[in-house]
Amino acid sequence: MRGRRESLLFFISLGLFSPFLQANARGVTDQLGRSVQLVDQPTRIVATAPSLAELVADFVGADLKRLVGVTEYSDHPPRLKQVTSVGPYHQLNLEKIRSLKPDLVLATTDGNSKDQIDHLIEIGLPVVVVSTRSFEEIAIAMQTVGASLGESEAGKRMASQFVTGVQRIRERAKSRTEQPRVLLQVGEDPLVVAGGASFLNQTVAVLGARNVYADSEFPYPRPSLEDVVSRNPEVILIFTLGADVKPNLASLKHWSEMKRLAATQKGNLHIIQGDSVVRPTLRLLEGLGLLERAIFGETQATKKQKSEKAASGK
Amino acid sequence: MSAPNRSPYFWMILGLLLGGASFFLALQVGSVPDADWEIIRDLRLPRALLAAGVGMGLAIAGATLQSVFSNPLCEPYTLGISSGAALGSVLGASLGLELNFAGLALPAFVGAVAVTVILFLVSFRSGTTTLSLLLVGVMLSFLGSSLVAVWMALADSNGIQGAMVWLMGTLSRARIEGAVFTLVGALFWGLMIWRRWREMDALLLGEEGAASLGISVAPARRYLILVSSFLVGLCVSGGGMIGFVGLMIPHFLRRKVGSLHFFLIPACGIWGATSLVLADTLARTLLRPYDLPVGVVTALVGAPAFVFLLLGESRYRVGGAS
Repeated sequence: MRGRRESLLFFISLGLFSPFLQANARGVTDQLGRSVQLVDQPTRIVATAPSLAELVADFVGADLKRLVGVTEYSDHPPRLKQVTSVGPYHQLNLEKIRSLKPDLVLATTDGNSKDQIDHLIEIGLPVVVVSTRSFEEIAIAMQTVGASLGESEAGKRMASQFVTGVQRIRERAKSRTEQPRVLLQVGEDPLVVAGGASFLNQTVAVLGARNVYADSEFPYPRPSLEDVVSRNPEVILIFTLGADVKPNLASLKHWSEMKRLAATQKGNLHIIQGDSVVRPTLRLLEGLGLLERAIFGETQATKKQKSEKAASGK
Repeated sequence: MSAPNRSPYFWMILGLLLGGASFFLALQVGSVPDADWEIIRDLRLPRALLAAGVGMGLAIAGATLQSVFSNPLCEPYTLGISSGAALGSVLGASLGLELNFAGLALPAFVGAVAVTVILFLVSFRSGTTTLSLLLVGVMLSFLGSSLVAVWMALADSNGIQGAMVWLMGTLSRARIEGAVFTLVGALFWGLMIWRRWREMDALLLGEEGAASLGISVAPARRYLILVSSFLVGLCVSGGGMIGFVGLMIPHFLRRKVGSLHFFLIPACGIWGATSLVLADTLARTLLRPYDLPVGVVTALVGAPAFVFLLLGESRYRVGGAS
C-alpha cells in the first residue's frame, strides 16, 4: 500500500504521464477501442463534460476531492460548482487541464472537439474517451467510467440499473396502443427541432411515441412553421436547459395560439427541463419518466398546476 | 501620403524587438500562473510559433493584394480567399475527411487555392479590370460564406460549435510540427513575393504606368495573386479566418516605411508576426479560462484602430501616386 502511494506521489510530482514505467498501471479500453494505461485509483480526475462530472460524482461519492477539473455548467450535484473549471466542454482550456496534472482525463465524442481530444492524447495525458449516442452506448460508458476510476463493480451495477430502468420503460411502452405524434422543440427563433439522428429521437421512441421529425436524417433540422402544421403534432415538448424557463414561455404562448394543431386542442404543450434528458447519466431515467408523464400520463390536476405555475412565472 | 520621417530600418528593428518581447511574453503568460516547462513546450510554444507564421503570412498577403489590386480594402477576407478556405474546411469536416496535418486543415488550403483559380480564370478574360476582379472576389466571398451557412444549418450542434470557432479564427489547434511548417512556409512564400518588389512598385503606378516601365502587368499580377493564395491557404489552414491583420498592418506600415515594397514586405512580415503573437496572448488571457477566438481580438482592436488611422488622413491611397 505504501509502495503504491509512493509511486503515485512520484507520478504526480513527475507530472508527465509515462504509462510504461508505472508499476501499478492497468489497462482500460475506452469506447474508441484504445487501451489506456491508468493508475489503480486515479485521484486527479478531469471530466470534460457536465455529464462526465456527474458520473464521476456518482462513483466517488463523498470523495469529490478526486475530481480536480470540470467544465462550465457542471452543476449537478451542486458541489461540482466548487471544482476548478477548465472552460466550456466544446472549447477546453488545454493549458489549464495540463497544469492540473491529471492521472485520468474523461472525454466524450459527444460534445468535445475531436481535435482537442487528440491534442490531449498527444501531450501525453491518460485520456479515456466515451461515446453516448445510444442507450446501449450509455450503458457501456457507465462501465468504462467506472472501470477508469477503479470502480469496475460499481460501474457494472450502474449500467445494469440503467439497462433495467430502460427495459421497464420499454415494457410499459409495449402495453400502450396509441403512438402519439410528438414535436421536440430544442430551439426557437429560428425553430430547431430534434430530428431522426438525435438522441432525443431515441428517447421518445423508447417511450412508444413518434417524433414527427423522425424521418429527418439530420440531428437538428430547422423546419418551417408550415411544415410543422402539416405534420400536426399531438404533443409539443419545449426543451429548456437550466432553471430559467422565461424565454420559453413565449414559445408556449405562440403554440397555444395555433388552434389548428392537435397538441394545442388537447392542451398538450409542455416545457421540459432538459438537463436530465440530455445528460447521459442515471438521471436520464428520471428524464425519461418526465417525458413519459408529459406525453402520456399527465393527470388533469398536475396539468392545471403546471399551467398556473407557467402563468405566474410571466 | 505622408513621407516617412524615420528610416525604414528603424521600423523593422523596432518591430523585431517588439516581436521578440511579445514572443517572450506569449511563453510567460497563459491560463495558469506558474506553468512548468512542459506546458510551455507543448502548448504555448507551438501557439506562439503558429501565431508568428500566420501573422506574417496574412500581413504580407494583404500588402501584396492591396498593391496588385491598387485597392486599400483588399485582403484575404475581402477577396473571398478566406471564405473559400472556410468552405473547404467545413466541407472536409462534414465529409469526414481526416486530412489534418499537425493541426493544419488541408481542405482549407484546397479551398483557398480553388477560389484563387476562379479569380485567375476571370483575370484571363480580356477586358477584365482590377475593379471587376475585386468585385468577383467579393461575390465569391459572399457565396462561400452562404454555403458555409447552409452547411451549418444541416450539421449537428457539435459541428456548428467547431465551425463557429474556426470561422472566428483560432490558434488553439497549434501543434509544434504544424507551427514550424507554417512559419517556414510563410517565410518561403514571403520571400517569393519579396523578390518581385520592383514589379509591385510598378503596379502602384497603374497598368499604363507599369507598362511604360517595361513591366508586363498581367503575368506579374497573376504570379503575385497565386503566391498570395498559397500564403493565405497556409495561414487559414492553421488558424481559421483571422481578419484585420492583412488590412491593418500594411496600412500602418505604409505610413511608416513608405510604399516601396523592398521595405514594405519584410516590415509587414515582422509586424504581422508581432501583432498576431500579441493578439493571441490577449485571446488566451483576457477571459481566463475561456480561450477567445483570436479573430475576435484582431477585429476588436483592429477595427477601431483602422478608423482612427484613416481619420488621421483625409485622403488615403495605397500608393504614393496613381
